Amino acid sequence: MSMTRRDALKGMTLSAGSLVLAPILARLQAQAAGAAIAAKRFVFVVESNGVPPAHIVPAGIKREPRQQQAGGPSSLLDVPLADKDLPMSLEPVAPWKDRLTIVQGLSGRVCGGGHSNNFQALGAFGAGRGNGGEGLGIEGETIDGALAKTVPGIFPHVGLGISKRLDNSIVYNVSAWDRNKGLPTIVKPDLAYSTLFGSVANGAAKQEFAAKNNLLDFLKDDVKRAESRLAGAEREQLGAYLETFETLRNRQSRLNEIEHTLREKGPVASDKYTSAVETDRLDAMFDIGAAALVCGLTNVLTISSAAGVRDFDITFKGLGLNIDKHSIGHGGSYQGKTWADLYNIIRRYHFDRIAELCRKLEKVKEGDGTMLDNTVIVYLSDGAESHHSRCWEWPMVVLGNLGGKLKTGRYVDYPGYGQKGHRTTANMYVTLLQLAGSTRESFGMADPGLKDLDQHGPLAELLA
Amino acid sequence: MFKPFLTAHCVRCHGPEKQSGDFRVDDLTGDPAKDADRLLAIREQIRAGLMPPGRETRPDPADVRAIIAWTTVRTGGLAGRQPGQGNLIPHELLFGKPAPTAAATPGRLWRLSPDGYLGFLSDLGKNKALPGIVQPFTLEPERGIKDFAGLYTIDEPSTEILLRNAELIVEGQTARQNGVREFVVLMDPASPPTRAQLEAAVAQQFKMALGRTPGADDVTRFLGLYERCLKVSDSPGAVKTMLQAVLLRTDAMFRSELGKGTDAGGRRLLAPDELAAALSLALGDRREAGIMLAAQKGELATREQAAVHVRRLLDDPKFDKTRILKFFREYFDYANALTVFKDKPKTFVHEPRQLVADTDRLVLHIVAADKDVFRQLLTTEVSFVNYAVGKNKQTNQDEGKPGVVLNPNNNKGQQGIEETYGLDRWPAEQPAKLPDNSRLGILMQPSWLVAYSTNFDNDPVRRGRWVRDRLLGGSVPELPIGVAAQVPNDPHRTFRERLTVTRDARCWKCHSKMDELGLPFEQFDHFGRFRTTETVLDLEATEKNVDKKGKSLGPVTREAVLNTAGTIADSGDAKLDGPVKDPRAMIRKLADSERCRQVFVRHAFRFYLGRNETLADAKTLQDADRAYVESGGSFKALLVSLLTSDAFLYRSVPVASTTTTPGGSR
Repeated sequence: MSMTRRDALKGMTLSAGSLVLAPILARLQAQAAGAAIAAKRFVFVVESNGVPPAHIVPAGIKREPRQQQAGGPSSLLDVPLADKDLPMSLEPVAPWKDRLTIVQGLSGRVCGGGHSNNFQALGAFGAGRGNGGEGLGIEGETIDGALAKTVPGIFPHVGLGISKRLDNSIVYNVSAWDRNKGLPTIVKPDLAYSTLFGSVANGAAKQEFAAKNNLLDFLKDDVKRAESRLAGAEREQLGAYLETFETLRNRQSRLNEIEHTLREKGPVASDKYTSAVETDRLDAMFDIGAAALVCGLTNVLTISSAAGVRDFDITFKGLGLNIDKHSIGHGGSYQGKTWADLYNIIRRYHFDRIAELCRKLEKVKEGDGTMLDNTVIVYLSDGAESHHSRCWEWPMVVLGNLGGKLKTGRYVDYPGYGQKGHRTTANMYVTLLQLAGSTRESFGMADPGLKDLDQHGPLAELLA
Repeated sequence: MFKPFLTAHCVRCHGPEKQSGDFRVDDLTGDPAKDADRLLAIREQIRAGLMPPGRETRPDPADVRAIIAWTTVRTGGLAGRQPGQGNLIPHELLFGKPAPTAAATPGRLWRLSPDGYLGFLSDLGKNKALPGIVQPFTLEPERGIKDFAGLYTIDEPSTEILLRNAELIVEGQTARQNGVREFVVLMDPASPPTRAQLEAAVAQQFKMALGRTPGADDVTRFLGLYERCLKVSDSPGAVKTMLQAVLLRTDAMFRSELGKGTDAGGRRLLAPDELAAALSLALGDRREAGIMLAAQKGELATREQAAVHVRRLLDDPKFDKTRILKFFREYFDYANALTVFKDKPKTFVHEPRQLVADTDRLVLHIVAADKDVFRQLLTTEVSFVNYAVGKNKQTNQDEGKPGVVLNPNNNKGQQGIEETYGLDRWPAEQPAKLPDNSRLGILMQPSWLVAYSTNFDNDPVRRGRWVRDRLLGGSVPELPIGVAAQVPNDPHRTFRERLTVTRDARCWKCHSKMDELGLPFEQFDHFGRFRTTETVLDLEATEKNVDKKGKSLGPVTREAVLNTAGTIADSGDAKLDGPVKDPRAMIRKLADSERCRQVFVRHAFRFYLGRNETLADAKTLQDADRAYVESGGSFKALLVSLLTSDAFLYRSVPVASTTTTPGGSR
């Protein structure tokens, strides 16, 4: 597959790319001409309502709760996980304990905090509202958007998720390509399926596929005619529309190349796709997302479990919990289970899905190893460390070592806010960018409260 | 004058020796097109008082005014094309002296708005309720007036949605049930369509999607597409692709306002079909049949004919003028109450949807009376309170009824929405007069106060910014990069006390333009409820509130004295400047101000013309303001003036320009 893809890239003309894709194609062509492209994949699982730091501490490690202020521990804690039992909610990924890093103590104070940090969570920027403002502003690219530009697949970025509102098809909640350019999160599994696998969905697929090519060619021509009558800004405005048709036409060609793979490895549609039960839809999204990775449709996948301020208070009825996450966040209990129990049960369900994804990736051979060897999965919450986040801490769980580039199997707890050696979510994102091959040293906005610290560079402690 | 000013105040840090902030001013070229970005940056810094920095010699205020005017003229139409930048043109330059001629608008394309796309779907007939149809378009997420022509294009995710929608729409149009007759007959693979049938189908789709008949050239191209598709699919499949293509045409997704009409000395009238679409979509979300017909019959070719139709539409109760309420929603931005998430209060109901509905109704009530509209909006003493309309089953007449009704079986002592307005029960007479001296106009509606609040607190900074932007016509620079705006979380102090962090000299440069205009609204809590004291944490009492073993029994609060004073400063109108004792006094003062009224007119211009005003629009703005004043404050008169202005009707002949790029879109 990689041979044909490389050949296709070499043959692709620059003008065929969209405005934003052009430089990427140029770089890919260069890569295609030289060394083989080493596959690198990034998956973000973003669950709403916060991850209380205490909930992801392995047995036998004592962690003092940190105050919501500067200060706290002055040294880094780095403990191997090998002889530790994972906390209840992380147990499903125990088979990959040697590839796991539990990361604590990062801060993200530039973000507004509140019930959700929306785009700020993956963007490490502020959206102009302090005091738990939950700003929806998009001040720049988010890390998944940035990675999508660094390791673009046929679909540069795939955003899948669930919304509490059944009538939603697409929401804009956590991912962004650039300032004021959100990336869509598809929240209907059937729509996700037809978007990614529609080209081979049924028996008439060949016909529809060819018809779509005709349609795209026609529309390209239509826009060109209109464009030729314009000058200046109006011409550019239509130029952008034209580019979208060209990009889509290219995508069609590339989908055509991997048609066989899509048929063989695509997901099987099920009645979960239209289920009213939240966990059914999220199961389906994990399934579709896994297939998208396995088929080589994308290298960057974001799965949003009702992330974003408009959805965070979802109810997980499928787990038998008839209490919404907002109430749980306020200490609500249900049938004898405390708020903390409920948080853990819901998180464990997510790690069950992550474990399933790992199994699927592990089954696919790639180079000397498996697809999982070249994938890193990051779990975090758009609500940072609590229901009403203030972002003094931002717990994360990282699974995968990208061919041994990450030193894994550890519990790492960074020094408190403002202490020497303290690091932020932006440093985590720089780490991921550098793993993807970027040379960038910073991401998002610097935290003015940390002006005495060097905020550049990756989390060196996590690198092998 | 400009050079000496730069030499005196700027060059030392932004010149050959030093380029602070990577910015230098000594090598400006003198070519406005090349210098525009830098001139605009210089103007903005000087205007906002950010440069020269505080430790340097202050420039003479008269010089500052002169520099602002000079750079504004110099950068001409290039200034501030983005939403939110309209106020960059100083008010005095627009209203300071009578303007001689009214300018045309440059030719442009205007992508359908999100609501315009829904209107497009309704024009296609019965298909709007089709499951799976997704809204492809969004506007910039910032508040305010933002659907500008030339600003939005259609990007890849949107195009994918458009393609899927087209597929679904055509699926519905060709279905045996409820399909379009001309299309359904083509769905039998055993009997391929005749050329006449295909032509009829294309014509029908053009009529529904574009409101016009296709040209001969169009027909040939679409039939060509059909032929090509026939090579890879059966005839129904090919017909469907052909019909989808019509829905995705450039002129279906973009409104063309290039000025294809008659030439009139360097500018051209909008062609009848352009003008018909422009007028329909100025007031509503879909094409209006009467005006489309007039265009076809050639009866939409003069200003007078346009005026006849504008007046007709304004008076026609059957024509859904959704864009009138939409303007007020964007100007006041009270509907953002829906997006501010608040924890459920225990003692009363917070239902932002109803609060917004009440304000919508109040706006429409004032617009319907059409007298002194601007002042009424700011100072009316009446309000709709938890109001909805339903049918009386006995009389079969529409009548007012409570919107949100609490379930008496399930209510744990919660107060209804009426309590938020300061009433203890639902008033049967609506709009109702509210308890004496509590609130006036839209800015003291609970919806607006909630829209300008955060999860847990009031937001005096943004409230003040609203007054600065939308009433005084001033502007405040964006939050500087790297500043994390944080009000200390000290629950034992009032919000006014907590906000004193902004008095730090670095912050105050900008905050002086906002905070004092927003603090009078501390009269209300962050749910929009009137109050006379502010509840804060009592530290001492909380410390003492322990059981015998010394374990805390929880926080204790106390009522702190409320201060609702504020100051209008630097407004640009000396008569306005000065202290105000509470929000009502402030609003009454502003509502009487000529400047504020004119700033309101400027916002209406932006909304209905789909762009920011430029210096050349002074006459259009002055005419609109005069029409409003001379009609006793009629919003309709203001609209007729704007929608029949040269700026609306004429397009300047395009000059190739490379200095602007379309903004982002989704």
